[in-house]
Amino acid sequence: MRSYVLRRALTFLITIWLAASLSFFTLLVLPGDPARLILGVDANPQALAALERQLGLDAPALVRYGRWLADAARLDLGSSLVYHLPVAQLIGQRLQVTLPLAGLALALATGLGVPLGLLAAHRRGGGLDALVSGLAQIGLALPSFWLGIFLILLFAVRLNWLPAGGFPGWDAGWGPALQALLLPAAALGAARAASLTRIVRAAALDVLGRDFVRTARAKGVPEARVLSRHVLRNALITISTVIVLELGQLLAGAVIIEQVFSLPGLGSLALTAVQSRDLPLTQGVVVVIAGAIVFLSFVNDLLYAYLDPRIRYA
Amino acid sequence: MLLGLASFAQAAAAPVRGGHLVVVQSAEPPGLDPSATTATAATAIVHHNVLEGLVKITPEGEIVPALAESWTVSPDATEYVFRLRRGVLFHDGRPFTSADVKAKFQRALDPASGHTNQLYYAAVESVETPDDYTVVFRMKAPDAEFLYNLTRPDSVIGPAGYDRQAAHPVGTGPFRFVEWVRGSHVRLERFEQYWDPELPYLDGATFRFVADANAQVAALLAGSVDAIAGAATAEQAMQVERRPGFKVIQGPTTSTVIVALNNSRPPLDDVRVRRALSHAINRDEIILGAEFGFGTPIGSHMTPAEPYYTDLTGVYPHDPAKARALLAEAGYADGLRLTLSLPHQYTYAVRAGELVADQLRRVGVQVDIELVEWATWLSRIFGEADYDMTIIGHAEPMDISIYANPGYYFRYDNPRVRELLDAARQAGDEARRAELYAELQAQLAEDAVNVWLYARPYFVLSRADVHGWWEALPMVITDLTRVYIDR
Repeated sequence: MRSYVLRRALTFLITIWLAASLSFFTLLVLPGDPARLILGVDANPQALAALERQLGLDAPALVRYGRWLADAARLDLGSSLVYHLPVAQLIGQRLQVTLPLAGLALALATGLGVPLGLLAAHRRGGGLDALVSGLAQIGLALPSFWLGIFLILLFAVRLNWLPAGGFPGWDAGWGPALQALLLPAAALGAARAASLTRIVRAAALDVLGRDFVRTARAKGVPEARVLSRHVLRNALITISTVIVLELGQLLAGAVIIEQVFSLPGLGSLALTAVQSRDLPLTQGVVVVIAGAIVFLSFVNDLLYAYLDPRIRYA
Repeated sequence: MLLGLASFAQAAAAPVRGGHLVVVQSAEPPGLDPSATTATAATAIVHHNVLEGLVKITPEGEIVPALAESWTVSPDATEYVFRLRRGVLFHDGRPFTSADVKAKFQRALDPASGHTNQLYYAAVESVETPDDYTVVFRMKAPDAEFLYNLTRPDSVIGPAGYDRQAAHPVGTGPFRFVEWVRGSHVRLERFEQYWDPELPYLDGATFRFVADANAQVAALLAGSVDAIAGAATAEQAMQVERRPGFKVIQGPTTSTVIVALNNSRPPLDDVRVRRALSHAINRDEIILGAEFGFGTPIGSHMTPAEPYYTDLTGVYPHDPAKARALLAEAGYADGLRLTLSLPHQYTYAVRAGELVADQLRRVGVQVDIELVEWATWLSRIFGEADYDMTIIGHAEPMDISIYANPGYYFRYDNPRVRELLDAARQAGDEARRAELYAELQAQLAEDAVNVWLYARPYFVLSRADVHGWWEALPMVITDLTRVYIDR
């Protein structure tokens, strides 16, 4: 077990280093630099040169790479060139929105997707199955930004039940903050629920077709017990993988919903960072997201071992 | 005009003190110091509200006292003496004196400081402060435009030696900066010791950044925000104007939308080709397609909202036959292929681009459209002039001096234009200046440097109980000084 953990830790570090390096050199290759973006349409070459010096953009690429790597090794992610704040602070602020949002969306997706998927698998071929599968198809086809705008128009503009966007901050209290996250979580969660329904249904069907289920039923085990003890437990391995992957996606990929609902989340930070060619900020976000995804994959492996006694890591 | 959007006059009732205004704008600025960034997202929030200069411009285009109470200009425009307002405090409690003015302009004159638009102060020889409330500017050569340039956002004055303006602006304005939550909003609150005790009416204001146009309208209609300012569009105006409880303000801006041409790159270095492009364009069709009919056609680099504007739209009337003839004369009877690079974040530019491409196709010019990201546009097109044609709106007023710079991205070099500009800058007599500017605009039109399309419309969409907005935009500012909520 110990060598397994050590190997995983090494993989973790190498993955982050590769992701960060790829991001660094890609950003450098793109035309545009933060000094130009800050200065804007002022054609004064001296002002540009002065600003580039101030921001440390005049050093050669490898030197800047080396500096960043050395700082990152000491867990110093530097300062954003455009926002004038420490990168770690900015990411921390954004996680206050993205983590709860991802959690809510995942809860919604799981709460809807797993039961519906199991039900559809159980009543396979029947009317319920057709209904659930149909809804899942629609849920997958609907673009999430469209759903977001639709939810805003219905619940914020027409009914005035929930805010039309923005995030008041956790200082404003749990109520207002959660209210602000409800519609975006619904928009995000709906598409994920649809996807999860189909996957759970397929996984459950696969297990339902196995010999041990037929045996259990033949033995007279009550249907509810068959479903919960045997089918779910075995399907869970596939399902848990998907859920963990979904969480990773939600952390980084909610940028469209963030734009529609004007939420200051991690995805928007990444977008702004790249659009501004803000190197320290981009690097910081890449490192955090890559790290989160690798970590989640590790968690997934541990879950595997817990759920399936046949699996052991050496 | 397609639709009769009413421009609501200010309410006759007296302004009401109190209330917090939430305004939405599309872009978040890369810093809040107007002397360090030209981004209109920054100047809209900060200029006049948080930071002020010696003088200010009014919505009618007049220059009025701000931090300077009065001034005298020598008849030959080589010496400007400003008498400063007394008892003015900065938001951090420091008193405002001539030392702050001197520090600011020393920065503006220092090439290594990174101060924006240093060309506006290029004529300044020295800045003297005989006492705490007097500033004397001596010019190397007469500069009749110096006063106007002092109304620009670059001319704002902060406390001497304060270097955190970009993240935490400190000024003398009616509102004090409270916080900038990155990615979300900037919050301001009333500065109780503002030098005009009657102003501002509002207790505070929040500028929220909402990138999506639909989300902006939804927020306004749902009551989450009080107004959409700073690049509200015609479609948004049309959605909002029908609703009871909301109103639309519409007026002129100084934003010149142009098809910029790379004058140094063949075949665009041939004036006949450039004139052909001008004849091929139908401005009215473009205004209809890009701005739903709101916008004023222009024929040179000036808008009706700027001083000394002359209407030159008749120089190149829409005439496809003439365009073809000119192209044939220049040797392109078989047609031509050009690339049109469009900044994808500006919807009006993309729409106008599609129409321009279509109109040019009809005279035998094959146009390849490429959509370009903003950072790339600034670097490749604006910085390196690596383009054939592009479409952009130049928002700054009185920026015709860009045509004097051969290194500007138009790569246009005409000494006559430089002569005219210098003469205009130095002409003490208003009538003479007007003549010179007219000649200047005519010269640019004759050289067909770019294809000037139209002046953009200005919209503010707000709840009906919000009053005091500027009815025209002579400079890009969301001035909240006299805005009040009547609830």
